Amino acid sequence: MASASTNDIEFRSVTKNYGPVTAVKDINLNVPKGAFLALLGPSGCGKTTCLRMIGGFEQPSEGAVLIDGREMNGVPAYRRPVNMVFQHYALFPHFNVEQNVAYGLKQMRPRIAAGDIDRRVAEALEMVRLDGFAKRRIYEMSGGQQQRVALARALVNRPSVLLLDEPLAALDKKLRSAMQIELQTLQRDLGITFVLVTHDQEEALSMADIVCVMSAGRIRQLGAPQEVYDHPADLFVADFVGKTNRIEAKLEAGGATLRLADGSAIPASKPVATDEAIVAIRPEAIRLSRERVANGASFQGVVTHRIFLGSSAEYAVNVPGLGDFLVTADRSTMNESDLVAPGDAVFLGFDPAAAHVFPASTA
Amino acid sequence: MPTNYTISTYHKLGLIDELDLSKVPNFSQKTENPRFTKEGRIDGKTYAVPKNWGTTGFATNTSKLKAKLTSWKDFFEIVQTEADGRGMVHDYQLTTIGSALVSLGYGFNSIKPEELAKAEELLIKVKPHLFAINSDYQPAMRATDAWLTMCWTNDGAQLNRDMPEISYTLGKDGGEIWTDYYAIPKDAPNKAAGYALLNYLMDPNNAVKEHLANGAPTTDSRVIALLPKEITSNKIVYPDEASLTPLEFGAAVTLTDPGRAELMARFKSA
Amino acid sequence: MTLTAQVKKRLVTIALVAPASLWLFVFLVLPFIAIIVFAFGERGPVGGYQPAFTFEQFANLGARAAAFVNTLVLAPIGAAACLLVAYPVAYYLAIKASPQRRLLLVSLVVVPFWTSLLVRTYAWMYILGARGIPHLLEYIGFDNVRLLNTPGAVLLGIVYGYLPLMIMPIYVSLEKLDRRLLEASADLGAHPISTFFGVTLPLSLPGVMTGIALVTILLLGEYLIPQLLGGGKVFFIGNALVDLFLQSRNWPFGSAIAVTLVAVVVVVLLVAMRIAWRIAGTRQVDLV
Repeated sequence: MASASTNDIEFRSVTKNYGPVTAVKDINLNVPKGAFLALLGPSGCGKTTCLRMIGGFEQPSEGAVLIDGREMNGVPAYRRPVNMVFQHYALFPHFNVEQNVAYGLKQMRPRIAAGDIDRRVAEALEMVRLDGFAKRRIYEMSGGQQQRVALARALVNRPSVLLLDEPLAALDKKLRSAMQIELQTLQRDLGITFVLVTHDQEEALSMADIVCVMSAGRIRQLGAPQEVYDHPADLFVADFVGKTNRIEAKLEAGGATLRLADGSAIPASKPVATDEAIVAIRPEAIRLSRERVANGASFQGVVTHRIFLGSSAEYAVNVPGLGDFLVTADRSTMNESDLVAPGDAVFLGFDPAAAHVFPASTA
Repeated sequence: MPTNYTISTYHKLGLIDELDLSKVPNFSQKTENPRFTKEGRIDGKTYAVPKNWGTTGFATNTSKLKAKLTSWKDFFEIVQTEADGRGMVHDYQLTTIGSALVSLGYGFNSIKPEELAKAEELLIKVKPHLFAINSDYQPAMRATDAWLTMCWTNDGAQLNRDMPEISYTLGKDGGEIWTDYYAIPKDAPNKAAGYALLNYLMDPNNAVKEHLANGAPTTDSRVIALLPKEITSNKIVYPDEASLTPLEFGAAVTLTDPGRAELMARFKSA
Repeated sequence: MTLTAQVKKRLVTIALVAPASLWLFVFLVLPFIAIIVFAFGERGPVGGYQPAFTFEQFANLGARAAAFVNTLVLAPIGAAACLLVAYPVAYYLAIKASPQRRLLLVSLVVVPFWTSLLVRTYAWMYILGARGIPHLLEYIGFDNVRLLNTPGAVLLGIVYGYLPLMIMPIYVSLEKLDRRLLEASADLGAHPISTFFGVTLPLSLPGVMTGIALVTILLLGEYLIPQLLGGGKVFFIGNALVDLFLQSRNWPFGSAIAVTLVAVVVVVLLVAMRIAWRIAGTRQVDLV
């Protein structure tokens, strides 16, 4: 197919209404060829609606979705050059593995020779490491294997875009991590655009090279995973992508100083145009120690809980006047003397430059 | 309450006793029509006394059919021509096969294979032209779906009463006459009560009430004397004696003959 | 302790199963045994049953061959006609109708069962009879049109009478159908028609087969509709049985026909199940 565009997918002012409910509101989005985009957000944020509009299962109420430069309004799902890996896979229960994978090829016009279908199905099954399972019934396969069948079934058609709707949600944690790596490798090898819908920020950050954070039908932030994590555009993104501690503050000295609820003050990392602000700080940006740290912000508190995670630990620390803080401590960077237990009095310290300041009105 | 053709069978199987007529003083042999009492007697002994009687003729909707039908021969002809798709025969081998036999000039009760074969041929030829093979013909006649049907006396009288354009005809070439009887079962637990009831029913003053309710003609001239004129003058209920002459009682063997049952099955499945 | 628990469990099972079993034994198994015994007997001189052991009745089945042929032709045709009408209805109810409307429509499908089939078939006699539709046709110049007692009337009566029995199982199997499978099929490039024949129809086959089996089996014993709407001119096994038991009183022959009919029903059921199992995959089948 001749490339008409450098973008595989484009949303132009797309709005989708279901009766009085607006699921997606005025979305503009470009997905370059070969990108791995993750649509990330809580349930009901519109991410799945966007995916379904690419797949052709929904039509935009306003605006247009373009695939490879072609406007897709009114084009039914079966005429679109995209394939989808469905949530819970949607494999055909009355077909075996091989028949499931061959289904798309058999729909193609002009017809593909039977021999070519067999060859391509075999290749696809090999690609997802299911060679030898061709004759298996779907219900004889484990969840992970079904996932691979779904992947092979979609990829065997050589789509220009692969859509993945929460593809890993039904897998256990270990299998999920393995599949994350596998999907990433596959995407790189095939060089086709992947669009992943997920509510799991870890999944989005680890696999995608563009993360699109959505909420209430709108895009809140679009960017590389690291950028989204390190520089959240707003408090919602800060909260949803990764964990965040919030501190209420008032701006003083023309916005240069933040007066915290306990009366202490820290310098603002960037100017904020309102009087009331929220300071957001990542748990891993906070240092935990028995002694007060000289530079940066420092607060005294009491450890209330400790969650041991193996290589790291999470602590809940109550700071009088400011509330509860979540602190993640990597064991490899901790001194033995800093290992604290519930009931211990500790000091929390962080670099004010690592804290994000948002207007309180966005909270 | 056996019909004429079952009495000999019941007697043979020992199901009914000879009636002790001394216990039925209301029964009057003199006023009964011997045509009907005869069928209740076997070897000179009375096993059953008549309740009422009737005929099997045919009903014609004269506003739909112009032809004048007078015989079973006419019936089977018109059913294939003017009344094509509008004629009905009974779902009852006795009358359907019997009438076909009569139309061919044979006896109503014939069980002769060659005669039955002719009747079968006629019935199968007629079948595609029939509206229905059904003994419940009143609804179809009233709705004017059917214009011509085999018909029993009481139904004929009722149809004619409500729709004067429907006439009732007895075949001049023959057909069936029947009588329903009262008998007392051999193993009846209370025969005295049976006789008491029978005697009560044989009282003309009671029998006339039964007649008025049921509609079928009586065999007892004492009852006729008590009936209103519009009933006794109704030619459907009380036809001229002459028109009854060619009619035959159905015989026991006619009813139970396996050959006729099989013929009926072949006719219906043809 | 475990023993008493086991005993208790077994007693509960027996208590639950006993009433139905007893009922079936007394009113189904015993009569059926009687019918089998009769089938090997002889007709008495004036009808009824006379003990004997003979295969004569079965040897004579050919005398009712027409009834068997008519029945074995009518039952599948009737079931097929029901299927053709029922499938689109069930499809609409399960796939296209909005949930609120679906409840109403599904209830409407079941409502006819509130009155007896006899009454409803009689109603059709009047609708199709000369005072019904043909009467209306007279106003537009078609005199003496006959609809009643035609093959079309019988087919209409059958489709009308058995439609709910066909709609419900198909509706249930379509309703259970995962809509994402239809989307997956479209996503893989299948035209809606291909999706229907490749996915929807095969996955609704258990319902289709249940409906066909149900309607076919009932039609094998059908008596009323051909009698009332067909004028009794077509002879089915049901008619043959009525005649043999009630008119010519040939009980042994009637019994032999009844036993043969049951055997045919069993064969039809087995074949239907076998087909459904094969097509729909082993886990999907919940026939009868």
